[in-house]
Formats: sequence, C-alpha cells, structure tokens
Amino acid sequence: MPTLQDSSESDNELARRWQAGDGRAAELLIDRHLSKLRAFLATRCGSQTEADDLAQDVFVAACRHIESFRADGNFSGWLYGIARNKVADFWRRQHPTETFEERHAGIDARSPSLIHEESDRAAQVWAEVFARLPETQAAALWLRIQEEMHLEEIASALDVTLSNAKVLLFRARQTLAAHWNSRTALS
Amino acid sequence: MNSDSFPLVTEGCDAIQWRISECADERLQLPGDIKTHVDSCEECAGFARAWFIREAGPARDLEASSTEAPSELRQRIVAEVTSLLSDAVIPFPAPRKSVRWSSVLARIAAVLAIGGLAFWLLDPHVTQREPVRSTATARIDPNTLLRNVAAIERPMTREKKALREAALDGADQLRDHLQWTFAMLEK
Repeated sequence: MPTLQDSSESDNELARRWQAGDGRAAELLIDRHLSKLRAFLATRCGSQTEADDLAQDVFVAACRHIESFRADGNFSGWLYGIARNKVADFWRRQHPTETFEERHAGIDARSPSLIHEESDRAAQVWAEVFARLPETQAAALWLRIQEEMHLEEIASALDVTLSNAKVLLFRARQTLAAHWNSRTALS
Repeated sequence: MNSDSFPLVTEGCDAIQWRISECADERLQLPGDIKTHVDSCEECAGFARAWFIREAGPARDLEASSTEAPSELRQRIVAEVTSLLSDAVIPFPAPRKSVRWSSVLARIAAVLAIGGLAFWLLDPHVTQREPVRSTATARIDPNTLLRNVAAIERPMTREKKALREAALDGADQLRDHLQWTFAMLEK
C-alpha cells in the first residue's frame, strides 16, 4: 500500500495542519491509524466489509469535526472515541431490539461457535475479548496493547479518571486470565 | 507504583494481581513478596504468566500487529476526506476594488430612483388625486393606467441601469450596493 508514513511530525502537529485544511496532513494521519482502527472495528462488528465502511465513516466524521480536536489532546484517543460511537450506532442499526449496552455489558454465555471466525489468530482473540468484556474494559485493553497508550492517554481517550483507567485494565486482565486459566485446566 | 490507589483491592489474590497489573503497565520488576505469592498460588501465577511474563498464549496473541489496510480502502478514504476539505475551503476574501466613480454614481442613481418611486407611491396627493374606488364602481380608465405606467417608467429604468452597472462590478459590489441602498432607505 503506498503510504506517506515518512513524516516525523507528531499526530497533534498533523492534526493542527488538518484543522487548517491541509489535505496531506490528513492523509498522513489516515496512513498512521487506518490499519489498527480497521482491525479494531473488525473485532467489533464481525465483518471486514462493515469494518471498512465504518473506518471510512470514522475518518469522514473526524474530518467534519476536526476543529473540535484539542491541541493538547491525544489524537489516537480522539479517533477511537469517534470509532466507538460509530460502532454503537452500527449495533443499534443492526440490532434494533437489543441495546448496545446490553450486548456489550460483559456476556459470558455465548456459544464459542458464535464468536467471529477469523483466520488471523489475533483478530480471533480480540473478538473473544470484546465479546467477553464490557466495552470500556475491552477498549482500554485495546488502547493499552495495540496502541501502546499510557494510562493517562487511555483515561483521556475513554473520558475516565486515571484510577478508573487502571481499574478497567485490571478487571479486563483478571477476567481474561481467569477464563483462559480455566480453559487450560479443562483441556 | 501506588498500590493504595484502588481501595477495593487491599488483600488476597486481588491485591496481588492488582500489583502485577501495575508492574506490567509501568514496566517494573515484580517485588519479592509478589514473586513469593505467585510461586505458591496457581491463580496469580496464571495472571502473571498472561500479563506480566507474557508467555505464549491468548494474551500474547493480542499483541500481534494488525494486517495492513488495503490500498483501495485507503484511497477511498483519502479521496473522500480530500473532497470534504476542498468543499470546506473558504475562499480568501477578494481585495476590495478601489472606489470607482461609476459605482458611486450608480449608487446615487439607485437611491434617487428608489426614493423617487417610494415618494410617488406614498405621496398623499397622488392618493387624493386617484382615490381608491369601491369594487362595485371600479372601472379601469385606460388613460389613468397609461399615465401611471408612464410615471414609473423613468425611475424603473434608472434603477435597472444602476443595478446593471453595479452587477457588472461583481457580486461583492452588488451586495455592498444593495446593503448600502437598504441602509439609506431605512434612514
């Protein structure tokens, strides 16, 4: 894929240029974040085609609201905030009788056969993570592992306190470790 | 590391796992007391294996890089964002033209024309000369009609000429001209 990822400018510098109407800065940010964002969306909606459409929606929304990005914020976190909203909208459209919050409140009873099948092992495990954990816990874990965000950045991205971000990560790890350990014990 | 930041976890395996989680986030070594506990507790050992030692397993799979987004998707998004940006560009205001006498004369002519027309329409003598007839007795007098039309022809012609001249000076001039004219009329 031809990309422009040779820029040494930070995300925030590029975002400021984007705010000023610089299309090349927007392109650089798309190159930096598209692949991971697309993977995040694929784990959430279970379809690569839908994930691609959602990724496009996310960047279009980002473009339309780029003025609202604060210069002292975290661009990646801001982008994921838009992505999470888009996923919630997607679920409401797909499952009008089931609220997004109910679906993503941390369900443990789904049959493994319903978990999205992916050839990529990582995508499969992430799909399991998002199916098993409350959405904010799973999102915190994604931002920590895939985006390598610090706790402060995760807290900012999820609009929670630093302590809450720590708790979200801890609870996510605890739930998953317990699940995986029990699975190992059974096998 | 501040183990007191989560008051719900103060003892037992929860507290140990909380500290392991913090060590993982802050890339710290496990303290001796934690190691001792982990050596004797299968649950905490499982937690440490997954999130601190990061041995092969589902937790390690979560770190795998996302597959790169296809170039078609990237191009589609870049094209849409670029299109949005070009639509949103606000043209820099064109420098005002220097004052032209023809423009000034056009404004004066327009004010005189509109003023004359307004005076003619609102003149009480005109109203007295041509009282409104009741619908029962009203008959169109061709001579009166012709006289009225002839009376408004000259102001209308002057107004049309003034507007045409202003329009030829460009949209900005026309807008300014109309704003100025209405402001004068309001006075």
